[in-house]
Amino acid sequence: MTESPFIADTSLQYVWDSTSLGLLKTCPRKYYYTLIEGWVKKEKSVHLDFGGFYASALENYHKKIFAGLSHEDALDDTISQTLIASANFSPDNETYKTRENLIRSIIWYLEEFGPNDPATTVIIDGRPAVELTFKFDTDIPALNGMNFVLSGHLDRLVEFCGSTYVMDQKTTKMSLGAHYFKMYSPDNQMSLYSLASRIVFNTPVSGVIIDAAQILVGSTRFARGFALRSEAELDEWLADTEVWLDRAKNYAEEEKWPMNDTACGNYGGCAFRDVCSKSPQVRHVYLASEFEKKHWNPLEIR
Amino acid sequence: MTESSIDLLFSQDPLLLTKEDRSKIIEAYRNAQKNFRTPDEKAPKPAKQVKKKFDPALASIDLDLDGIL
Repeated sequence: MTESPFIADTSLQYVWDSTSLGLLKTCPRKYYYTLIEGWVKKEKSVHLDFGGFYASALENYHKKIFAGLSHEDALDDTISQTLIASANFSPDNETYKTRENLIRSIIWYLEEFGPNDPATTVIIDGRPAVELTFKFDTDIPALNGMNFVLSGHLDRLVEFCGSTYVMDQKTTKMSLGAHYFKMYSPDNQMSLYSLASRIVFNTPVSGVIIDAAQILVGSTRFARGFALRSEAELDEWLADTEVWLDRAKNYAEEEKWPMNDTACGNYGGCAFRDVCSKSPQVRHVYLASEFEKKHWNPLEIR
Repeated sequence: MTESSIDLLFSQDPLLLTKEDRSKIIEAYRNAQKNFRTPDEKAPKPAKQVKKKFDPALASIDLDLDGIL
């Protein structure tokens, strides 16, 4: 059984990943519903599933290449694994993120970047730096002598033009112009990944390379963008994180998780908007009918 | 490889697909990628001829540069 990220008998989370920290920053009430009560929408997220299959496929390809397989054999193995893993993936009313478009996107990406990619996988202790799980103590006190811990998963560490970067794969329906890549600076996830690389893997990185795939009905387009981070920016991010974690401590102590009602419309609308728009005494009825319990755990091994 | 035969491969139990089946899928998508051009990758249209107008601002820049050089 996976260890709990919460300090026993409290609502204080001490192991944080970018998802939980991002939720807290967006809206403490959204964080409370998702992390503490463990509610998720009954209908599965197409985007999460599609992105997960895509990232796992590319991870598999890089591992097979490192194991000595040729591009053709690594591609065949990757397509075989992905077809099996996604056998039951048939989202309703979805014309972009479909199983066929997933397979097409993987093949097109690996044809374009596979053997010819100038970004090469970093080797750490004789192993390829692919799908790395990290966890580190922040030295920020939480409770009962315990410190806050930051955790997460990196897709890959790469060398590119003489510098080291974290590489992160994204799939989107958005067009891949400068506007798309601007979203990642500043960005909670990219800053945590850059910091983790510096602390855990002892590899100071210049930032994150975002390999984005725009999934269209009849094609997939790719673009590579950079979310650069200086040492000073990472120090600032960690100092800010201490402030956020201190707030989480106060919310947990007071058992009060305020709504940030300026964030309800972000990204097409919060999943809990229909809950928060109901009168407080009937919210739990709506939650029980539209949501199910599935606790997000930053310590879960992927 | 027709679109319908690819659809057929996708509808099968993936555990029963052979390497040859998968290679048909890969080849079909490779060909589609080769044939695919996004609108901005299509051959550019010949540049439109535009009549040059006299711009006094540009003329003064030329004069300044001449002075520096």
